[in-house]
Amino acid sequence: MKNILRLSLISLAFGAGIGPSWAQDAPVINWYGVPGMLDMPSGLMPTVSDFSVGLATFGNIRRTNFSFQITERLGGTFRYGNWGEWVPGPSNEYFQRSLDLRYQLIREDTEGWKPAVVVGLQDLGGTGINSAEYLVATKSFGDRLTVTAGLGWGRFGTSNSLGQPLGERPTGGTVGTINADTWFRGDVAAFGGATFKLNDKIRLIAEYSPDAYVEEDIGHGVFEAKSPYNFGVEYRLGKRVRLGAAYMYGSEFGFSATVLLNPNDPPVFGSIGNAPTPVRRRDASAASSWTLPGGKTANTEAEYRQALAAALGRDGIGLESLSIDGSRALARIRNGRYDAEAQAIGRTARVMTTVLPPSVEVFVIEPMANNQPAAAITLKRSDIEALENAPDGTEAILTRLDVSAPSRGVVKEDLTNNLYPRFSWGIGPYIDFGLANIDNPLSADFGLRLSARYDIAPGWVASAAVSGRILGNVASSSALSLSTLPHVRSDGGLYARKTPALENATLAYYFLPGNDLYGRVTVGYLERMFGGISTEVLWKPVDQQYAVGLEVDYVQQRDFEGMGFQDYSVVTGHLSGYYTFDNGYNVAVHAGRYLAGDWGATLDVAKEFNNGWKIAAYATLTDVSFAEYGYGAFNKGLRVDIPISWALGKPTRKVNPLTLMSMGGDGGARLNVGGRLYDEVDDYHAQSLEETGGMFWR
Amino acid sequence: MNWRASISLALVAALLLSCGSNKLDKDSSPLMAGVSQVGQMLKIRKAGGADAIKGDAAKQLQQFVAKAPGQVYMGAVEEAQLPLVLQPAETNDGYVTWVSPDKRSITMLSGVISATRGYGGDVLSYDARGTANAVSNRQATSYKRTMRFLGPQYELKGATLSCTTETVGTDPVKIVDTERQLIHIVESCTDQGGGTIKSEYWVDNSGAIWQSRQWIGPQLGYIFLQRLK
Repeated sequence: MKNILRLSLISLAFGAGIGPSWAQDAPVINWYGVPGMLDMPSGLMPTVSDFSVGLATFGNIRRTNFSFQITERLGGTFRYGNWGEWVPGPSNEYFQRSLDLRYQLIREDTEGWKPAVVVGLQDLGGTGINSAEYLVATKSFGDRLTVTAGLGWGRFGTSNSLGQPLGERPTGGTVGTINADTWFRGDVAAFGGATFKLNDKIRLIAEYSPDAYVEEDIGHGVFEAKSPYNFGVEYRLGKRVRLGAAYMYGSEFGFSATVLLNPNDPPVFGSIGNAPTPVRRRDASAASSWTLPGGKTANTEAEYRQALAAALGRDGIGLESLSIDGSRALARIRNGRYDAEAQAIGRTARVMTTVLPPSVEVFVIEPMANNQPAAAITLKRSDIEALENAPDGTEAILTRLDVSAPSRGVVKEDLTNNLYPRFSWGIGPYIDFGLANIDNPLSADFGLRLSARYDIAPGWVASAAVSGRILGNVASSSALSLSTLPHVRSDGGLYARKTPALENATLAYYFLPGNDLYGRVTVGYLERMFGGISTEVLWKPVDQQYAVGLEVDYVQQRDFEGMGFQDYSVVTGHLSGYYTFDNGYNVAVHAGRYLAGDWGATLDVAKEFNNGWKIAAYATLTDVSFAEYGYGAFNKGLRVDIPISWALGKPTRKVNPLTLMSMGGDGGARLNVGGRLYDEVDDYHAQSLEETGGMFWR
Repeated sequence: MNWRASISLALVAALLLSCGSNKLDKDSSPLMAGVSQVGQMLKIRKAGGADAIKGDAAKQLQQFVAKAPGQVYMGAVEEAQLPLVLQPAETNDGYVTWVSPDKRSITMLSGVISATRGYGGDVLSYDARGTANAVSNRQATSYKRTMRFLGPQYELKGATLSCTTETVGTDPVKIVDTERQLIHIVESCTDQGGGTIKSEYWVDNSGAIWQSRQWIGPQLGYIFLQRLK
């Protein structure tokens, strides 16, 4: 009996489209990181928003695949291909990045005859070693067997050609750009295969691959495809981990490992963090007998402030200032813990009911971002009291919460005791990928970063960071930059030789120059390669989904090792436009002058989930030509942010940023100054609070 | 060079080890300090109740209950095998929020659970009014209960249950050396899909719930509770 309701309630409570339906058999992931067999793709799709990280290796070939299922029908994969013993000599490995897109044209009709059909572009640049296009159909028979057949072009058409239906495949396009004229051109060949579910853990896989590994075999002699038949198994360790083994092309054994994550399927369901402080309701006698938590009475505003700071501190929230004006109390808070911003507001409001005198009816909560308030959230105390236990309390409180522009100015008397000046520090690991390192795009440094921050006065922050490398190879790059542009980024290897290094040391002033306006001035060593002055103004109405920012910087290039500066200086800056769509897509455009003095624009697109998962991509085009830019043609990057709270089930604002790709040449390089305004300010504006609104009473 | 991905993933773990001077993250609750020792000793596996605790732990429990200024609940989240010791923290319009030494909380209306916080698959709100009325009046009646949960993207997910209560008899229930004859009431709730769950309440003649086994959602399952005083 219990189980029946359990199931039906799950479907009611966590209905279709909410969580990944793991009950349905998830497709086998192939060694290019997409649904398929081993090398060959299938017509299946993973669950929407599935994010997978996979490694596969056989012979001298290794692939690191990152896949994200963008919509139910559209999937993308970013890949590092690695070929060993490619050229003679000690540094003999070869790397190539590639990006795939695949779209499901037809969904499988499991009852009828219709198969699932996918069209895919593998390495859509079209000029890479891995470039291939395919049209593939998959049909399942029962719940154990799937059979796949398809047509492949590019490297999937390199044996047993059926001809060139769309003509010859052009060669010689620019690496790093999209050469669409190559798609579906040249020889086409048939491929196919099958997967068989032996039990819940094991899938047996067989395929026919027309990929002759021409470049690997004839071009470089690193791998020989002796047979087109591949056989393997996939072993599932729970729903998140897959291990694979196969005999590939009659010549080599290989292995794979894939980790699958989904923002909608946290490892810990719900929050296991501390319960909130319960609301203290004012009763009829409250006016005469109100006491602070602990039983003391308070007479002065300072005493209330002290008590509120102590009570909020137990919830991980800092009190910046408190002023009580008749029936209205304004509390400025520092939220260092709750990644769901509405939760920080809800907790602050509840704690305020336990401390503030009964005469206070209106709570104004101003969360601080960069030592300045980011928004003003106004709530009625009687609503907090009435809705805490109301069955529809969440919906009701969100309709009664008002978000407006923060108040300006600071009243010194309102500040919590001993808040300024304040010193804080932190130490933690870092990973830094050598961005513009052409001969080894996978170079990286790993080490510890010590950061310190000195909050001098409201708005004034001094901060610095020192990093010390523990291991890594960014500095060991033998290639000196041959860039014809000013070497604003391409000398990264020279900078990396110095360890420990002062990454930044700045003095910043944050201010509110007007209604809906936020300002910043930062001076000092702004980043590892540049120092100078950076100024920024942001216009962001609290209740709107758009914002406009302007940044102007004057910077000079830092010495590779010492504290001094090189001769190169530049005025750089951007006009930025931001827009947040209702479906979680954020778009930003930054247009202006880059570090090398080039003019252009950056397009930044991110899919952000309410729980903090973020998949972001950017590309920059400037008046620097692809040829002048060099390898990769233009600046672009791909990043996944995984909130630590999602993994732990406990509130924390820490995020694990996973930089999948960051092509950082000298063209289109933006200054990397800390404390930019938009992200921090936007966190507490109407839309973010609405997105995290379910957490208000958490 | 495939270590890139491994390192990136390992960084998730490493970031958790980052430390600093941010005192905001520290937490303390002097309120429940005394309770925690008793709470840790309780090893409740199933609905056995306080009577299942023997030896020194039983003595400590008795002492704790005697010293406690107000009511005390003991019990367990059954499926998670998580012991509970709860003391009242605040009352709001009849709803009492009970907190445990591990800083989780359960809110109840007249002993009927209306919300949980900090257990993982928490029920954000569970309309307790119909049940509280039915149980305290000890009359067969029917009513609707709505429950709300949060999805992984903080979205509200609700379910409405149709419930009835019936008295099934009188049971002797021994709680900390006191045996009471309690009226055994069973609440049956059905969802739109036709699935049924049952919650049980044992009440005295005044309608006060002394023992209960309440179903509070698909993730958490059943919570067993005994009121010790």
